[in-house]
Amino acid sequence: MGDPSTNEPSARAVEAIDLKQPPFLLVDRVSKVYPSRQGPVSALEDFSCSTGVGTFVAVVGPSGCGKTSLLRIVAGLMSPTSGKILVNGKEVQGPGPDRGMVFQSYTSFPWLTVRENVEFGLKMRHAPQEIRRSTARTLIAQVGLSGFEDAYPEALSGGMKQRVAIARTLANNPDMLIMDEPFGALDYQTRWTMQELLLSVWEKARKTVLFVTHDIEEALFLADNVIVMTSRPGRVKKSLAIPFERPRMVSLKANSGFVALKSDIMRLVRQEIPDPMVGQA
Amino acid sequence: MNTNSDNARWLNPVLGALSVSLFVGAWAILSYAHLVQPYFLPTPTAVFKEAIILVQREHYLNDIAASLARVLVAFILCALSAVPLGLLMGRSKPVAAFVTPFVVFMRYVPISAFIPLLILWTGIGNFQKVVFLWMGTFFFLVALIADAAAAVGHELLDTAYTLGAQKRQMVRYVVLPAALPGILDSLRVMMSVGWTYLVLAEIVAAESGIGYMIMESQRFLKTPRVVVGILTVGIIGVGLDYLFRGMRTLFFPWLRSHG
Repeated sequence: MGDPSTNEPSARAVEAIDLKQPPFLLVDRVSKVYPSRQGPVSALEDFSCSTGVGTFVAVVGPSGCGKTSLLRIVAGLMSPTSGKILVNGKEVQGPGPDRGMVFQSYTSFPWLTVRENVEFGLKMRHAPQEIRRSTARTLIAQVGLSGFEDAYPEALSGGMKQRVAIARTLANNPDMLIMDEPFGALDYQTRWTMQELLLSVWEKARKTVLFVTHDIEEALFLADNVIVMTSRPGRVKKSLAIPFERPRMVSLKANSGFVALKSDIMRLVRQEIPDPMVGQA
Repeated sequence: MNTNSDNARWLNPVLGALSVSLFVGAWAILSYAHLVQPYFLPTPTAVFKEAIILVQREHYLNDIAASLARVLVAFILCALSAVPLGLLMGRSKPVAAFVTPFVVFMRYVPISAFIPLLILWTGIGNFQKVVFLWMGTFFFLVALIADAAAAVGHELLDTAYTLGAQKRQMVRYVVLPAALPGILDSLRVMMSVGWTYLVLAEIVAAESGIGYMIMESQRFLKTPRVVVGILTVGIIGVGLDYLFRGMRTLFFPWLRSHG
């Protein structure tokens, strides 16, 4: 349990990039331009950031700022118009099991049971059955789904489906987790539970995480670094180190330092929304 | 207290039976009361008697077997050819662009117009009839399968890719299982379309079959036999449809049941 007094950030906003550690993830001047009927739309422009291994990075920004584009490019599902991504020193050429992704929409395979969903990646990579079984059993227990191994996703709640997605991604033992607003479709209470669950799983696995969210509080609660993006075309507006001790509990959200930092980030995001009266949530 | 879905469980068969009784009732009133002449619409009794005669003295069961065999063989060939092509069309734009114009063309052409050509090409035996039934269903089925394959959400494919699946694994492990319920539904529809071509298929030089029996009876104005033929096809159809629905619940336990 973090003592609230030690959670008080000494310097609220610290420049985040740690140059001593070789970057595990390097996003190097990435731009993405989409064609459209009204002409080319620039989603990302010269976006650069880097992070060390095992760091939890959250990206926040106004709607349509290119957050999802960034994730899809890092995942290799989309190629950048210019610039490049290095993960572990290797340039990203396409999707791979070293970068697991959790999507906002529920993407459990509906024809597979919870266990088969968790085993999917290992099966695609021809892992022997005993390894698939034992990995699935461990991870299903870790995300609190024991007893639901043989259920089909259709029978699960939204939060449970996202637990499946997290377990399934971790089953591949990826170097990195890419999470695109994974709790965005969940109700408020479930979201809190899932944030705690994610942290507990992350404490064990210590993967590098790139986490996109609309929810500033969520970003602050989860991450080591928060990157605030500008409105479209998305660039890095500010990168902040989040000083709160781990393990973190939900009670941290009421901590005065947390609240102050949250309002700082809110102000930064607000500056990117042209008119607050018509700005998107 | 019953919810709507609880009601539906026992209500559905009752409603089904009700529609059948209404149909038979209307038929009985019209025919027994001589509101319509018997050679236009025979009475249920006359039809039933004729059915007994057909089965007992005229090998009608052989006709049924012959028709069933033709339709089923054509249906299986149709499924085996249309499912792979449809999957390819649904997942590959170049293949779709290449195949679509011809498939659309063939869907619009009245299939009976091909009968003379088919006789020249394939003779007048069972082979001709099977090819005809295949042609009548294939071009529709391909389009339905292509739609089912194209409807597989890209999120599922993206997910599979980020989980380490290779492109060559996509069809087997993602596209096919995701599209399978849609494919089964398409097969169910096309099975019925196949039966509707039966009379046309058995016009030419057939010596057996339900369609053949209907044509023969019509020639001699044996209206009750025509009705027997229609009822036979309809009842087989209801049975096959029931079978398809059973397969749906059997093969896809993961689908929400729709009662």
